[in-house]
Amino acid sequence: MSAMKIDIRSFLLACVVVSASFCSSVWAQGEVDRATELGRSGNWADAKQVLRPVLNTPAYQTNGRAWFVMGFIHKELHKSTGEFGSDAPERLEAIACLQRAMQLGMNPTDRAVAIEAMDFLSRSYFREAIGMVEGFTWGSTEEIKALYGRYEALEMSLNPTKDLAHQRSDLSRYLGQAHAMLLESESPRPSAELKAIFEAAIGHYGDALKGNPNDYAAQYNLAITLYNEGVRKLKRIDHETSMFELMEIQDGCIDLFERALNPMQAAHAQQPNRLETLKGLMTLHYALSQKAESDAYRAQIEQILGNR
Amino acid sequence: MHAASDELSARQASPSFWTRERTVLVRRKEHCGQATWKSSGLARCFIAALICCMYGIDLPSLQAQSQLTHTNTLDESDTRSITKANFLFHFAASNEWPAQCMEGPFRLAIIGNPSLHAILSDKYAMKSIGLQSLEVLGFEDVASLESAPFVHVIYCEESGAKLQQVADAIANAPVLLISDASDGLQNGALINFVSVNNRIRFEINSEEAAKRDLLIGNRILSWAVK
Repeated sequence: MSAMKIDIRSFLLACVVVSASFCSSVWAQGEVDRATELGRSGNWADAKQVLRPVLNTPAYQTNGRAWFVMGFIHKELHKSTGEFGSDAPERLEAIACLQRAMQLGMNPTDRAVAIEAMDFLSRSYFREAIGMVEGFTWGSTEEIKALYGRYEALEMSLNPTKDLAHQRSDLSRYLGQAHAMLLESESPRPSAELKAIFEAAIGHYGDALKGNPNDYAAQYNLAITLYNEGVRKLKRIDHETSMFELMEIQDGCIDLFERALNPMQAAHAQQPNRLETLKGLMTLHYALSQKAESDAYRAQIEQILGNR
Repeated sequence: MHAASDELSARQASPSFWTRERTVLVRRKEHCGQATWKSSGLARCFIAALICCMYGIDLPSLQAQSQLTHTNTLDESDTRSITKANFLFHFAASNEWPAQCMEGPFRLAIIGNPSLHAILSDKYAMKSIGLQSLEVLGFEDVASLESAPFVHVIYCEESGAKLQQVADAIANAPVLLISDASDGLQNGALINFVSVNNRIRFEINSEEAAKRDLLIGNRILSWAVK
């Protein structure tokens, strides 16, 4: 008799547990469905209000679809608000939710969409990095690197075997070029800032060549940046420059011209008939008072132009 | 929800990912009305094609030029002339001429180097050489120097017989003849530019200068290589 009582109690307890779990699941799914419906009609902010507050409750913590829907809502909010920057909150939330959803598991359709959404978010970081390089301003390097870092981290999470060395190298080359263009701009800058920009340009080209030693553009641009820096120093010479200063400036310039020679020769070795490198070598040897070498490159240029 | 995944496109392995994403960026800017002709590759191609049609230019050559827009631009300033110009100014300012030459303008003539003449005219003309004002004259060749007034300093780009011709023309006059030739001092120059460790330096024939009543300054002598 007492055994029977225990069985009935156990049965009732099991019923309570199962029904509570069922109700919780149905209710939980209800929030997800409501948020999905709101999302379908474009009410992403309302959808967020519905789902976000309950997402960390026990009913949702392990619900992959709920995190997937939340991630998608954050992604759409990121797009609609036009936020930008490596720390844009909606984008970061979208990535965190989608990554969690993938860890928890989803049906194949949701999983495919989640991957596409992460791909889109990853590219959005990349595009922002490109945009900042194109409209480059001094001091924005760290943010560009942060944006690229987020892109790279996301790409690697999607495909851990992906080789991003060339893209990293491209970014460094573009950063080098952006810095070099600042040096060539007319706007006046303090000499310490100019020095820092020049050093940064050289550093970025160096990074680009570490990632891709055969990058023609990085070799050529590095040589030009070094050479042009020397010319800028020379152009500061005027009637107030003493003989001693002239000798010092000349030493500094020749050092830069000599440093420029190696990358220019490396670029030339890759594309021996390219006029810009031939002209670069002709100019560099002339600046180094190496007339015979300069004349030899001049002759090559004339020969190429004569054959056209 | 799937419909909202809109612009997501299939991922393709491509070596030119940067270029592809940049194109998307440019298109977006165009869509937002932010595109400029400079940033739009499409517009550049259109203009290039238009120019090609108008002038019958081969498209490949224009494409080759457009590669340059992706690189930094070589500064084409004449570096040797910038350095030489300052040397010449010091040679004018640091030596001493006889008293009869210290009236009127101080004349510096350049033969055969238009770029050096342009730099001197731009940066040093009218500057003071003692109590005199520096006047910079430019000549195409040795022959055209004959009609010139007295000059204190001549820089001659020529070498060999032509340099000797200039030296003969000024004979024993207090004129500082400067050259940039391996045989400069042998052919009558008093100062000759030489290359030492890729740098521009100079050598002096101080005995000949003394014969012409020119006193080479100590500062100049101290930097000479011989």
